[in-house]
Amino acid sequence: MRKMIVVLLVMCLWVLSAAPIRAQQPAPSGPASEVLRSWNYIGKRLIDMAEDLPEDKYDYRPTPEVRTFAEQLLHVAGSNYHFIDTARGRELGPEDLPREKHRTKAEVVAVLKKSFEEGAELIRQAGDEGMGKQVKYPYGNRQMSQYGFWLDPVEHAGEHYGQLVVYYRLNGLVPPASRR
Amino acid sequence: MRRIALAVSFALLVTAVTAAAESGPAASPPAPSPAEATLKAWNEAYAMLIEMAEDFPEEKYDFKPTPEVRSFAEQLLHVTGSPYFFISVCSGQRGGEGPFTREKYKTKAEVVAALKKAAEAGAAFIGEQGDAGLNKPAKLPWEKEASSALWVWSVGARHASEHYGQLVVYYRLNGLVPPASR
Repeated sequence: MRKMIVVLLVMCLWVLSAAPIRAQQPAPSGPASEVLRSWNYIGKRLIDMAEDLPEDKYDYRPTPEVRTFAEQLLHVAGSNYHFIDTARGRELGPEDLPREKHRTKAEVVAVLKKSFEEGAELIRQAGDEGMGKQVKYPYGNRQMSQYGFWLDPVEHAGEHYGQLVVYYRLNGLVPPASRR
Repeated sequence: MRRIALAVSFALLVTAVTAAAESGPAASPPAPSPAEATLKAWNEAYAMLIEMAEDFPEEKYDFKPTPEVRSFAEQLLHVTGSPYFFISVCSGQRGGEGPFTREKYKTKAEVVAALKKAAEAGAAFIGEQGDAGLNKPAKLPWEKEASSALWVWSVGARHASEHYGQLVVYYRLNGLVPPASR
């Protein structure tokens, strides 16, 4: 009799201990890993280009009034830092990091990489729970979920990546992502 | 004694099973949700493309910066086809009136109308699915492993942004200022 009670109690404990594991399984991945994937994806595309384009073309611009290749990359890095600094509660720097301060290809690549690495670290730290929290948007007096907050620089980086695709073609070059 | 033991054990089992069932919904993230944020990103990206499609002069619709790439109209028709592709990836159902070729969509009005319809189809799908639907597994054909429908639509929104970015340069090469920069 006593054995039977012990067996049944062990069964109850087993069901209870298994419960949280089963509850976590249905989601293929959480919001933090989704947004991190998007962030790293567009980051890699831009970093691949920054590393690939010959340095002597870094100051190319298709028309006189627009940003050069280097200025586009420094603009993406600068806006990434607007989101990173907002998330850290720091004062915002310039949205266009100055070319005079990032003179070489190596320096441009380094600051671009660093901006994507620092953002990735913040997304990882916030985790799924953090992604649902309301945070301050860098511009204006707006609040949004942290998930939406990080999607914004992803879309922004995508827009500038698209511009650089055309810069490549205008130089007779094939963008890294279109090579087979 | 035996009956009491059985009753106690049964009660414990019921409690355990109930707890297991209830811990699912409690784990979902609070609002505003990833589905809402993705819908917003989608709508913003497509609104910018539609604004350009309506604004760009029709006689420049076949402009391409270099011979091997898509023309302005072909870029728009490419992002017109993609929402239907993403819907089929998530649901297996192929909608839309593709293929979206320039031969089939000859005028600016036809291209704009098809683009608007496609943007709405994508937005409607994201809205209907919500967080629960977007949490379901989905696999993009060029990716090795399945992920979620949420990932598919975030790829979709970013894809639209990338083509928008290309068209920004098409504008400038024609001596025109993109609507968002005026």
